[in-house]
Amino acid sequence: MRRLLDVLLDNPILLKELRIGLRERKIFLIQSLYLVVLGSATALFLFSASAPTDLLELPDRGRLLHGILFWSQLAMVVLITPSLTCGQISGERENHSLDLLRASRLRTVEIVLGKLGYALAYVGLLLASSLPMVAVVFLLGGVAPGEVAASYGVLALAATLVGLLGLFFSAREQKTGHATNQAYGILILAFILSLGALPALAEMLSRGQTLGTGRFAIPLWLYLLAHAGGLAAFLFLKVQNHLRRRVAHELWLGRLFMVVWLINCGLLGLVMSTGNSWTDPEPVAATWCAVLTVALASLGCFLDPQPFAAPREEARRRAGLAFRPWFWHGVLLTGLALMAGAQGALGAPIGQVLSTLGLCAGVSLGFAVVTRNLHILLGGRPRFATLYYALLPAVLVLPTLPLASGESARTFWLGTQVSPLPAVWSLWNDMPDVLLGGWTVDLPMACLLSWLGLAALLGALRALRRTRPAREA
Amino acid sequence: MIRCCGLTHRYDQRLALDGLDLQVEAGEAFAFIGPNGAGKTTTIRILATLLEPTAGEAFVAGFSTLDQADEVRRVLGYMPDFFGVYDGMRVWEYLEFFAAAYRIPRPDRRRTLDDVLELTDLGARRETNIEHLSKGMRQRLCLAKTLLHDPQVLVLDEPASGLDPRARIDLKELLRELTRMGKTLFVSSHILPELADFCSTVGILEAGRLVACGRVDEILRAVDQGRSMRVRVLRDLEKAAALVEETSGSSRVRVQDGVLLFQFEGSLEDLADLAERLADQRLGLVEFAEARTDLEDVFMRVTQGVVC
Repeated sequence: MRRLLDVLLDNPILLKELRIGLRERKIFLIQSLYLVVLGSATALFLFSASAPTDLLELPDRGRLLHGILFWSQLAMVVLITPSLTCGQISGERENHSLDLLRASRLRTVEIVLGKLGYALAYVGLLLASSLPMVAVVFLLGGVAPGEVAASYGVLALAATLVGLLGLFFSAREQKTGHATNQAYGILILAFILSLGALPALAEMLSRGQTLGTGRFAIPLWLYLLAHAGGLAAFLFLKVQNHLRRRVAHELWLGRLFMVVWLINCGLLGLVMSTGNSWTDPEPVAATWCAVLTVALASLGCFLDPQPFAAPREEARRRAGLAFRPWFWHGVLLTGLALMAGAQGALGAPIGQVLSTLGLCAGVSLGFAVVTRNLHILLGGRPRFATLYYALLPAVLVLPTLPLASGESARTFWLGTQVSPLPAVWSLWNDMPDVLLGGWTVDLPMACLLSWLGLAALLGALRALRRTRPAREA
Repeated sequence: MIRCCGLTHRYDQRLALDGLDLQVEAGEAFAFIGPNGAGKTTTIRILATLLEPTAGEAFVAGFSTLDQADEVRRVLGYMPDFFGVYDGMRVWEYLEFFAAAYRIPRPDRRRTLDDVLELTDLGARRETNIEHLSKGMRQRLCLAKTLLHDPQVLVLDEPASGLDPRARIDLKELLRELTRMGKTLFVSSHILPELADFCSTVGILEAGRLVACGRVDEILRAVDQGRSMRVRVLRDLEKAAALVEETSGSSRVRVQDGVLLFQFEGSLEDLADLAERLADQRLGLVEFAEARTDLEDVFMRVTQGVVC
C-alpha cells in the first residue's frame, strides 16, 4: 500500500509534468473556456426560464440543470483529456528525452501513472472549479448530493478512460500528430455510432437497471464499471509494454482477457436464461460488453504483437501458456461451455443449449482464424493494427444500434459479423431469414457459414502464399 | 567493468552488430570509434538497457543488461548523442527531477545537485531557465544529469558533437577530470584527436565488427609491423625518396606536403645507417624522425569504409 502511495504521490514524472504543464498558457485558456461554457449554460438556463408558477416545478428544473451541466462537462472532459495525454509519450520521443527516462531507474508503471496523473490532476482542477456552478442545482432541489457525487465519479472515470486511450496512442505512435488523429478519430466515431444507444444506456442506469432477475440480478452500472476497469487495465498494460517490453505485462494481458471472458460468458448465460427478448436492453448491454472482450482479446493476442528482439525473451513469450493459440481457443470454448451449463442448469432445453454451444464455438473459431490469417497475410504490419483500432468502436457499438432504431434484421446481421454472440439471441427469437446467393438460410446459419467461409478463403490464400517460390534477392 | 560477449543485433534484415566481443577494465577511458553506421550507437543503447541484443549478452559491472537491467541502470550513466531537455524548467528543477528518477534520497539531493553543478561549472546557472542555455551549456547539463547518481561507468555517445572549439576543450577537461576520479569512460566520438588526449584504449568498429582493440600504439604496431618515419630535406626530395626505397626494410614510401614518409622494419643500426647515407648525399637533411601517429592515422589504416 505504501509502495502504491509512493508511486502515486512521490512520482518524479508527475511533479515534472505539473511543473511544466501548469506553466503553459494553454492550460489557463482551457480552464477559462471550460468555466465560460459552464457558466453560460447555467446563466442561460436560469435567465431564460420563466418564473415558476408552482414551487413543485423547481425540483424538475434542478434535475434538468443537473443533466445539462453533467452532459456539457462530460463532452468537455472527453474532448480535453486526450489533448493532455496524446503528446505525453510521443512528445518525449520527439524531444529525444524518452531514452533518458527509460535509461533511468524509473519503472514504467511510474512513468505511465505520472503522465496519466498529470492529466487527471488537471481534469480534477476543472471539475473542482465547476462545483460552484453545480451547487446552483441544490438551490432548485430535485437532485441529491449522492447523485451529484455519482455524476462526478462518472466524469472521473470517463477522464481516466479517454486519458488512457490518448496515452496508449501516444506510446504506440512516433508522432504526436498521428496519436492525436487516431485518438480523436476513435472518439468521434464511437460518439457518432453510439448516439442512439447512449441516452438509452443513461436511462437504464438512472432507473437502476439490473442484468438478470431474482438472486442473479447484477446492477448494470457494476457490470459496465467492471468492463470499463478491464478496458482501462488493458490500455494501461499496453502503454507499459510500448515503453519497455516485459513478458510479465503480456502475461497479465492474457490473464485479464481470460478472467473477463469467463465472467462475461457466465453472466451472459444467466441473462439469457431469464428468457428476455433480445431487444430488451439487458442482453444488448451485455452483448456490447462481450463483444468488447472478444475484440480486445483478438486485438491483444493477434493483431498488435510486439515480438522481443532477444531470442531468449521471445522464447519465454512463446513458451508461455497464455501465448499459445490452442490455449486461447480452449479458453473461448470453456467460456461458452460455462454459458451453456448455466442455461442448462436453469432449465433451457438441451437441444437449444447444444445448438448455442455449437454455433458459438464455430463462429468464435472462425473469428480467431480469420483475424490470425488476415494478420499473417498482411505481413503483420502495424498499419493493419491501426485500422483495427479505428474499427474497434464500430465493433463495440454496432450491436447496440437496434436499441435505438427498433428491431432491424439487417443491422443485427451486421453485428453478428463482428461478434458471434448476438447470433445466440436469434436462436430464441424468430429472426428473418437471410438471402445468401439465391439460398434462403436462417440467420445463425448464415452467420456461421459466412465466418467459416471467410476462414477457409483466407486459409487457402495463406497456403498459396506459402507454396509460392521465394523471390530472389 | 564492461563486457560484451558475441553481441549481435539486427534491425529487420540489416545486421547492425555482428558478434561483438569487447572488454573494458575498471578506470579505463575507452574510445569507441567507427564510421557512420558501424554499430556504435546500437552497442551503446544495448549497454544502456534501451535495446535487447538479438544474440549474445552484455555486462556492466558484472550485471547483465538483460536480466539485471535495474542494477545496470544504477551503476551506469548514459548520455545519448541526441537528447532533449525540458524547456519549461530551470536548471535545478531538471537536475532534481533526474535525481528523483535515479532514486537519490530526498535529504541528499541538494548536496548532490550542488556537487554536480560545481563539477560541470554550472553553479552560476542554477536558476536559469533551460531554454536560455547555449548548446554547450545544455551538453554540460546533460552530463551533470548523467553524473547525479555517481555512476561507476559513463557511457557517452558523441558528447562533443555540435560544440564550438572552446566548449569542446572545456568538455575534454571535464572528461579528463572524471577519469582522474576513477570513473570508467566509454566514449564514442567522431572527433578523434580529442579522444586520443584522454582515452587510454580504443576500439574500432566497422560494419558491426570490432576490427581493432587495445592501446593506440599497440594497434599501430599490429597494423604496421614497424616504425613510421618522416624525413625532410631542403633539396631534391625525389633523390632522397629513391635512396630510401633502395634500402631494405623500408616500405610504403610516399611524399606528403613536402615530407617523405615511410615504414621501416629494420633494426636501429640499419636506421642510423640510412640517416648517415642521406646526410652524405648533401640533400640538406633537416629532419629524420619517427612520425607521431595519432588516432586518425590508426582509424584510417584499420578501417576500409565499409558500412553494413
